[in-house]
Amino acid sequence: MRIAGRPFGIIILAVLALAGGLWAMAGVAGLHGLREYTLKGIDVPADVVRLIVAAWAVALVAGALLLLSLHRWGWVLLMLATGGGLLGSLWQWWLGNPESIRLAILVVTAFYLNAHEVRDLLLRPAERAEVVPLAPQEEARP
Amino acid sequence: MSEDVPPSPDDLALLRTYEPVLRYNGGELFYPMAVEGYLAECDVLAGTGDKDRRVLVPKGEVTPERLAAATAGHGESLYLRFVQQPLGRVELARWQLRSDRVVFRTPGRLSRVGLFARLVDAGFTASLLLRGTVPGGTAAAASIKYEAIRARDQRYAYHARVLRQDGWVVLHYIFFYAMNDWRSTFLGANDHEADWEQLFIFLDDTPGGPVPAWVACAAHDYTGDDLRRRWDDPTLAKDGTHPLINPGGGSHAAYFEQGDYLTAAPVPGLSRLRGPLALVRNFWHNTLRQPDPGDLAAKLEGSLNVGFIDYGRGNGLAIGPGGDAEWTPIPIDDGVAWVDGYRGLFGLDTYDRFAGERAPAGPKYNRNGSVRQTWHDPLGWAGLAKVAPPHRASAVLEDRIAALDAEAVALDREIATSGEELAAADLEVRALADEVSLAALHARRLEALRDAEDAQAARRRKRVEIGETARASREELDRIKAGDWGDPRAHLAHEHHPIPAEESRYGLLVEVWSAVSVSLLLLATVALIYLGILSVWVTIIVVIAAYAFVEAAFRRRLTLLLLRLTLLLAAIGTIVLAVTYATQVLVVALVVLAVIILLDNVRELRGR
Repeated sequence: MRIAGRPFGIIILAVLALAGGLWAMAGVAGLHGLREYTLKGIDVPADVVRLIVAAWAVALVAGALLLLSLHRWGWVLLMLATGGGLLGSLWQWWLGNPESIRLAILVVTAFYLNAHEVRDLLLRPAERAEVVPLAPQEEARP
Repeated sequence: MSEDVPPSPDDLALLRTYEPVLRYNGGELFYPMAVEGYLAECDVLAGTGDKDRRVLVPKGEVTPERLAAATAGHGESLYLRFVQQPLGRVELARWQLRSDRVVFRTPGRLSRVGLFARLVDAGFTASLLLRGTVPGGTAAAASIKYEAIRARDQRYAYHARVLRQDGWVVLHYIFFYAMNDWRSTFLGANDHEADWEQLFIFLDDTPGGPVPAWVACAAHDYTGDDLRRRWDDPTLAKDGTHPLINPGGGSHAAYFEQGDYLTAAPVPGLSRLRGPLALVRNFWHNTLRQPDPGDLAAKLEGSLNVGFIDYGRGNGLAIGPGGDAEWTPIPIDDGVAWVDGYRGLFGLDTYDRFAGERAPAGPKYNRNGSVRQTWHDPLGWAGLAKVAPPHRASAVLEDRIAALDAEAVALDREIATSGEELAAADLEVRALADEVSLAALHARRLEALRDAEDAQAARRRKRVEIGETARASREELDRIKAGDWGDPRAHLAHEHHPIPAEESRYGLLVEVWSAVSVSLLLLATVALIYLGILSVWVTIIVVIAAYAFVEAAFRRRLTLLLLRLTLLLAAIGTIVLAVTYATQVLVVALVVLAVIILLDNVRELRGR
């Protein structure tokens, strides 16, 4: 995989995503403790938490690698993983456990990925306008 | 000046030359008919509501003359009633199951609109329980009566008149239907007895004879310029000299292009949001460097479209030259008793406070008894009062250019004179400035001088405007003389097109989901709140989120929804961070500002 020539922001983002994904995978593997997640008093079973975190970690790692290859699915996967991360961070904030730095990184990531320079680099011309229409019937429309 | 004249043989020939071809939907129940046949089946009533209404003229005795003489008491509504007895449930079921019924088939209208529009639609349906509405079985009974009339009088008729106004010959075609059954037959917004639809053809009254220039039709939600199409507009289909028009199924509203039309519900106060939404768009696109979201106000308006569809498919009976049946013209004017003398409604008054289910008045009058603009001022109604007839346009523009030229000459003279006066006044002010004892006089003269200076600048500005206007007008005159009238659609502020075909094709699952989703949404909300599983606000959020996910999955837009959700969460995260760290954000912003100012000032200092 050729790294040179990639925008600096893309490289930083991919490294961060890779690190985050690997760290989460380590947590799933039991190398460090996963935080206890609760849903307003209802405990979420540990296996469910592990499954969700594992899916998120895979999306981060795969997204990071595909992003470095300037593949559009890298963009999609990282956007979705960022969305999942934002949901988790905002939920923690709602429960009174704010993770400000993580939240700030995720916010900047979402806006950076959605900036038109990045979209121009990663998406097809028909997908660049507005919010990307990935549905096949919308792509066909002029 | 307006002048009504009974159609002469020439006028009748004009009406026949340009009469439209109306192409109806398959499944249409009512077609244009003569008013007299309808009157014979009606009784005349008056009252202030359902409980105190009384019959003034019984069925079988209503003539145009008796109708014109009918009056109601103070505060009472005067109206005709076509259906004295709506069909009962059994009769209605039998009528609906008749073997010769042409069933109107269409994709579910609710699959074409979003959640909000479906909720509005549910509210509208609920409102029918409280409003005055045309009773169930009325459209069926009206259809049976209409068929009986047609058995006696097979004509498809239009009423018409010819006016001459301001260099135009106006052909006014009026189509009368026994009933508007848009709601009961075509899933539309309303039903009402009696329905008038109008079409105008505006002919340029040239010395060589009338030449067609514009066609205008009454249409839902549109006024003025948007109602008319230029004769050479490619979207105005014609068969020779006959415009091809597509009446909406049951509503009979006229459409120029074949297809299904989504009607828009005007949202009160939306115009006030235009400015803030434009600011949001600017911030999002230019400051955050995100993709341009487009006109947000227009998008919001579009998402609030209520799901009523007017079907103008033109796939049924065609009436008019070259069609399945011919027209019978019936000339009318102010001398016709039922036109001029009767100001009541032409069908049942349901006393519906939203008026949608009340019958209309006649072709000349509004429901409140005032004269319709289409009757006394068709040019103004179609936005043509300001438009010169083509054969006069060159002369009108030449006169205007001559007037502009004369104004320019006079203004040049005025500017020259004022310039001399201004120079003299300036010298005078200078002289006064040297005398300390004349300070007050100097101040007054100085102020007057400045006013005169401003006035001279305004004159010069006006002179430039006149010059530019005259130049542009000369260019326009050249184009007109060359026969170039410009874009035939340039006058349209809102173009009304049918829904694109690809937006009408959804699978059965989407259709079923669209039909049941609002009910499911309400039931799920009630169940979750009633059973105490979640709090009210969490329930609402969960139910709407679940709805959005199912909807997006059905339409294969799940990824798009998730991406949009990510951006929404990012925006919420920004707000959370800004509120949590408001002080720190302010401190950092002030420090950055101070550094920028310092650097800028130091750069200036070093440049000295």
